[in-house]
Amino acid sequence: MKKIFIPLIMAALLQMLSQTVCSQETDNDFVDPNQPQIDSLLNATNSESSDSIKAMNYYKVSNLTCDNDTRIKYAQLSLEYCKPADTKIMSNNYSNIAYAYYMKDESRTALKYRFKAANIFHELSDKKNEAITFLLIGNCYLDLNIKDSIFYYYNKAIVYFTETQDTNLLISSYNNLGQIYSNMSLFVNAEENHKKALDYSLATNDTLQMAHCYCYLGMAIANQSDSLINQAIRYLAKSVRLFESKVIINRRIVEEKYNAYMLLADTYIKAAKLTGENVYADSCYMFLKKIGNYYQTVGSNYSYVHYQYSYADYLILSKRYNDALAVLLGINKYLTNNSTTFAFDDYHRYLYEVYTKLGDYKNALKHHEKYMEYKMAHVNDSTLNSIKNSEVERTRMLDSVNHHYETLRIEVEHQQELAQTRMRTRVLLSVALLFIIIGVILFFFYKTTKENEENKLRNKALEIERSLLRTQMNPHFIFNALNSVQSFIVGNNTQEAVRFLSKFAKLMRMILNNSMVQSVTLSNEMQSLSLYLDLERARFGNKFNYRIDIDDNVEEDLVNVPPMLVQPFIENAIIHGLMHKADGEGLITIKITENDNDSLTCQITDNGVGRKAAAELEKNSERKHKSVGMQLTRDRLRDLNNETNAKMSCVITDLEDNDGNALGTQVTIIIPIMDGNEEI
Amino acid sequence: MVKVVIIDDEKNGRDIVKQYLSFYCDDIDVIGEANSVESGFELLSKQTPDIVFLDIQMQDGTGFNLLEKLPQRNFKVIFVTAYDQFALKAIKFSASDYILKPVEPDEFVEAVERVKSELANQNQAKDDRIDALLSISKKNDFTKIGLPTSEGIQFVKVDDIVRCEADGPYTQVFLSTGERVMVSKNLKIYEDLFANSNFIRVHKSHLINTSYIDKYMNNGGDGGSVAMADGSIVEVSRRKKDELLAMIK
Repeated sequence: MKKIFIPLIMAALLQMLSQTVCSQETDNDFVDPNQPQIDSLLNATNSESSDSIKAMNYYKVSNLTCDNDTRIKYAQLSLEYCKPADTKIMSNNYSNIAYAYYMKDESRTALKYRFKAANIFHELSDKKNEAITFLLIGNCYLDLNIKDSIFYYYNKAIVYFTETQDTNLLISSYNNLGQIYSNMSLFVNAEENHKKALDYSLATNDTLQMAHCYCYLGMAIANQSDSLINQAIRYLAKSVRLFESKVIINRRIVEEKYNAYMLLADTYIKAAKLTGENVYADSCYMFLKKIGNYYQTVGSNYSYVHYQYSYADYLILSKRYNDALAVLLGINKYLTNNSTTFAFDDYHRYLYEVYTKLGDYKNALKHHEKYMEYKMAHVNDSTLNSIKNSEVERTRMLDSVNHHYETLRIEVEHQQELAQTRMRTRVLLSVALLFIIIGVILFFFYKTTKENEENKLRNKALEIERSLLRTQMNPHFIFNALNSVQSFIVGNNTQEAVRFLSKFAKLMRMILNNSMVQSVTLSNEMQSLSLYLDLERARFGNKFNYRIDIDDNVEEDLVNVPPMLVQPFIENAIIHGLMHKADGEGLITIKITENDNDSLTCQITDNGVGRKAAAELEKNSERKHKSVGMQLTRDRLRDLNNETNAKMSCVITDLEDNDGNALGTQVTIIIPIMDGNEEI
Repeated sequence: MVKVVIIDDEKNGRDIVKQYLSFYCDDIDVIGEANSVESGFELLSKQTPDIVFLDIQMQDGTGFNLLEKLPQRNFKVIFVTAYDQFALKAIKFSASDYILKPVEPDEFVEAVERVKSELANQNQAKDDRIDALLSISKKNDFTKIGLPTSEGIQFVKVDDIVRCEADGPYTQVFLSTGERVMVSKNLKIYEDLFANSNFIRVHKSHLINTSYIDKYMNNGGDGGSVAMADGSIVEVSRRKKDELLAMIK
């Protein structure tokens, strides 16, 4: 409702700058009313050779046309022919371009040209036009929402107008300012400015001017506070009386008159609602009838819609809801995409009200939601709204929400009940689900922990078993070796006994140390092996020799292997292979090579009697040798395989010549290379 | 004649040393025997031997306890022990001489000859290795190690050792001061002594202190190499690369 004033004032100001104002809306099949004049001017210009005249003619065309793009085009053309001295035409061209851009809603571009014009006016010391341009600059800033600049340029203009006592421009300026403040919902400031305008207008004796000012002032006061509504009505009625005292032909002013009627009617409705006095409603109806009659003959889009709303409002006030509904539904066809948010939110607000009164809550709710939607959108995009304004809006919104709540209470309660039941079910389901999830998590947690513990225990058991297997070899050694010592002593071979015992002690020390670690270096292992072989060799009276052959590629100091793994195989070779050997020197060869897959190959070859012969010989033997070491080693290999997934293997091959005679036995063991030494 | 005292609480222990001395060694005069810390102290308070064969574990205390009681120790000590890992570690750190029971004749002779040559070369009989040994075992402090060199024993902080390099049967020890010490022991011995510390055997010839690694480089062999703080580049065996990287991460 408030917005309509700005274009009106703009029109008033623009007239002062002698520019053509076209009241028609631009549309596709628009024909410029001044087209004949334009055509003749353009024809004259074509045959013209003087640049100055061309510039002047093009300027005139830009002034005559009602199309913004055409206006810009000819103003630019005129500027091209302007000489530096043609400052007046230049400034007018700039003003025309700025106006066209302003109308095209391109205020920023408009501003640029306004400043160009203002500069020229300033150079020409044309203070009046400069001041007017300042006003127009202020309007551009208004469109751009840059408040400080609006007031800065308006004040600059007003200072000049006050100096020159240019009453008409002062009235326009103050009214414009009042409207700007109203739009910012600063109604007290608005009233102040409109009052100044009124004071100046009273001095002019211009009735219509006074009518305008009373109208604005009444509006500002009506918006300010409900308690001032009587004062507002007084001013608006005064405005209407002044308009009616003159015979008005100018259509624009006629529209302003009816606008004043409408404002008065609206204010009456408001008063009627506030006081409940019928006299206000009757007065309202009187003016609405006048307006209705007028619009039925003329027809004006926006204002007519405004009227319809006011009429609907009145009908609602008079409790004629079905009539109001008919009026409102009739408005729908006038509402287009171009309509302001106000038009839309009013539409839904009134319909919501009417439907509520009629008891059609379903429709009421629908329109209330739509209304709130537009309301919110408006609140959001209107950056000009001051805090005060948004507070007012908020209060209003709260009021309507409260109201809405009251009328829809039963329905809401019912829905709440339903929602509560739904919620209860949902909560129950959620809790149940939560318990299930926790249960599942706990189950898996328990399972994993148990598995971990089991794994740990299993590993521990494996380690203990392995360490036992390592130490179990010790007694086996010890007794065999002690047996040897005994034999040296019995045979009175003291020197041999001493040397044998020292080596035995050394080996014992190594075995003891090695039984505490999971792995030893290959050199360490080979050292204990050669000690062992030395001892066995001494035991069997140097009946055999041995050779340890480590491949050059193998870094024996750096490679780690499980300790005491090979020894039982050597023992086997000696006892079952070489011990039975009747002729020739026995030989055990131990060959170590490295494989690609982090393992070593240990090949133990003896030239003994072979397994078949050994078995044959031992069958008749009283003492059946039980190979404890071999069994233990197999157990160890199994455990190590389980733990490391390494492919350790042990292959025994019987060596034979072409005639099938036994040449000995070869044992091939794949030993894993282990990580760094780890104490247990 | 080299004067010798034997202290061991077992008669068999004393006898075997006595027999070995008479059997394998020349110019030895056994001037006394003791069978406990107490009697050993009395003996050493009266006698002035050149060499003391000292058992570590005795009924009334240890050989170390006995040494602590003696302010003047103008003799060389050869420790004799059966199996005592801690004492042995302390002895090795102080670079003292020792033999293990049962006594291997070759090792016995080697130890006696070494001490005899020390006695012949040095005017001063006092042995600072014993002070070091007592300090190490008392404080359980293995931060210093004695390096036996041709001139005597040089004590260095383990933390000051940048790296050790095998040099035939000897070991070159490189210190952070830039000094280089040639030690008449093989690298394996130091690898064992420095186990469970910052040292790692990265190569058959190299034992390095990881605290002094400047950077690891991928070049220079299968396992790459490391640049040490003293500017040296040490080759890393392919076998030890992962272990090294895990250690310096």
